[in-house]
Amino acid sequence: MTENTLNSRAMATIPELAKTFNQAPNMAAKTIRLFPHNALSFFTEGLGEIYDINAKSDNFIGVNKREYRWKIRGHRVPKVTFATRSTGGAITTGSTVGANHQEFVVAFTTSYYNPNDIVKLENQQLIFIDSEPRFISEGVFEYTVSINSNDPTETISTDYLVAGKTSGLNGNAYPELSDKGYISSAQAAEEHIGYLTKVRYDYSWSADAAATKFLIEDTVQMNGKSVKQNMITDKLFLDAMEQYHYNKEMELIYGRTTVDERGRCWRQDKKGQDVVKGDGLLAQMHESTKQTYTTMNIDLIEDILMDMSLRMPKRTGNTILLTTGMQGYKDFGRIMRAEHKGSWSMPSDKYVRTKNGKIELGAEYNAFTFQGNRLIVVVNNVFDHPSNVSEMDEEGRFLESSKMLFIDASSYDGVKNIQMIAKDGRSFITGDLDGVGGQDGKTSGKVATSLDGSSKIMIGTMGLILHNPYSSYMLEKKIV
Amino acid sequence: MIVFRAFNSKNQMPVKLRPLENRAGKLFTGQGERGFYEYLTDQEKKDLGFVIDRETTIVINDGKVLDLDDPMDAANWKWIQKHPYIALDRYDPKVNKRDAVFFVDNPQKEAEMKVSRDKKISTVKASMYNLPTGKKAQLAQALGNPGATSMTVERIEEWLSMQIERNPDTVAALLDAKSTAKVNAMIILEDAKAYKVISRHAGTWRIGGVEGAPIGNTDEECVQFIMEKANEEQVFLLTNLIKEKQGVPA
Repeated sequence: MTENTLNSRAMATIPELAKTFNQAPNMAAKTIRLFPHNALSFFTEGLGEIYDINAKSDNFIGVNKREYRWKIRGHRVPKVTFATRSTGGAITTGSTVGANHQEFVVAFTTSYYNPNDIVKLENQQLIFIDSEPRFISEGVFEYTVSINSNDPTETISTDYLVAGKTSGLNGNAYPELSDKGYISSAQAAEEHIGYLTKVRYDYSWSADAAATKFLIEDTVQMNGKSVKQNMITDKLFLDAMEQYHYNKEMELIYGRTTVDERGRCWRQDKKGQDVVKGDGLLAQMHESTKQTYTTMNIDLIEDILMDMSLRMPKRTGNTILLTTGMQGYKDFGRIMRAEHKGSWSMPSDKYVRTKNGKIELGAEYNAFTFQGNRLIVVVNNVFDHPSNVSEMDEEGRFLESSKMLFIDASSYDGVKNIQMIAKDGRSFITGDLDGVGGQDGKTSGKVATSLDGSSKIMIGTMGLILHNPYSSYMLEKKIV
Repeated sequence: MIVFRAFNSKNQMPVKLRPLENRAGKLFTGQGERGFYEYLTDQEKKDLGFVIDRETTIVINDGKVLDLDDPMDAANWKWIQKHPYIALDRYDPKVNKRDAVFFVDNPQKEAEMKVSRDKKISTVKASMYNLPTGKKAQLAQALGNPGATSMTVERIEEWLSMQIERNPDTVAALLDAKSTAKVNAMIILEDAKAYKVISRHAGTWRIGGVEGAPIGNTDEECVQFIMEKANEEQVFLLTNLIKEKQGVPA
């Protein structure tokens, strides 16, 4: 194997790949480029967004061999919701309170406000927080408040103080010689923890099959001539790689961690060894916004792009990655076609191609821009894989095929929102256990096993970071 | 009044709900005689005044309130109840936590549950403190503390007290005089586990190694096995093996 082969993708044929991996295991991670439909793997390690857990980085901190942490600026607390009051009974609508600066009691769902805070109501009136919060029950905190006004006749309609109404911090006020002051921090740092997941795929093949069958033909250039190479192991290897990458993508999307919030792994094997796994994308974006849909329209897509941009670093200029199954891709394509139709002006439009008197209609739509935010759509194999089971519609289509994951692919202070963490040299490794007849089943010599068949083991260790877990969006179909 | 709370109230972003289809593609809105949009007659649509369709959406966030006296909220509530993002009861074990992110708040029910559990814990603890010391040690052994016989009574009480707080029902079931046989069987099982007289192979507990006689897949099954008269011989073998490991002459 020349150095050239290791560095050049152009020369890496399938037989050579197998040999390359033995020499340079890290190269193997790049095989994800062979399977671009595994969108998450592709958009992270496929584009080089893969980092060693031991590396010194501002993006994350590798705590130990399997745990990493990252900090984000927590989302702002833009509004505080009113809850049902207990003191004096629930506030009812259609009345007024607070005349002559009289104090009254309101209840909020959080204890966010501090004394001397001035709070703005939905009707633009202001109230002054006169007391510390009093804990009533989980999610109910009461405050004594009064109207912040110089007009003693001003009252507040109770319509704006009932459960479900919202309020926001307008500021605070203290006397000049106050020895005490609070600032309601609008943002708090959040720390998130992730764990590496191990994906392993073993396969074996019979020596007889290896000796008698050739499943793949590869033509490679050797000494200026085209030479055919036939190797059953290579076909197996390619299939196995595909299976491995599928398993890995499934873990990256659907994986759930086996470690609880206190860092305790609750799954052990029979010998008592921890079985550590990390969260996949769905678990990491569990608190993000999601929505069910039955029919797709352009407004839906546009609303999502706008809603997402509000939680992203910039309002415009963001890139959003949408990964979905074929049903989702179909729905997206139909909307795009409908939009495109409105702008057909010339027969030479890309939608209509004429060749030899025949007309080909149609196009593949995979991106959309709306008011400065760009959506890139990638079909993900796993959503249509027969073993990725889910409920089906009447025509037998998996509902998972309609799932649309809108992933914030923007950068936060130069750090990509979605990244992969791996162990250096362990992101992908393969091991061969040759049978008695070697990999081709007919080579005599010293053996390491008494088994006739050979086997290969693939192991990868990786974890996913979604730096901002709140900016993603999920659109999915569910049935009643 | 229906109040929605998020399972993770600090971080949960709002979700947007739409009426869902059934498997055949019919939209369930809860309106009309059959509850599906497609079966609504023109007359029914006129009478309803407010027709829910595929474009109907409702955003749910922490603290969101539906006023069932409001006809629009009341109509929406019919289909919202069926939506997988919403759990009607915070503690319903049937709720799929992968889908459900909000639950319907019911402070009265939660208070009742908490108080009822607390009362039970107090009662069970009182009964436990009244047991003779020997019984306390046996109870602790049965609940998985093989070293209880060599502990002081206060340490046993402390340990049992923690067990009661974690799982009052399990302990309560063992305090009954009728449960003596079960407590003894549980002690044998816990000792057998502690002294590795039994081992688990492919999910089944067996006496000795992989070739040994099976006694059950779960703790409950093993206890049942030990209590059954028909298994007397094997239980005798089991207790002798335990004694052997403990260094007590058989």
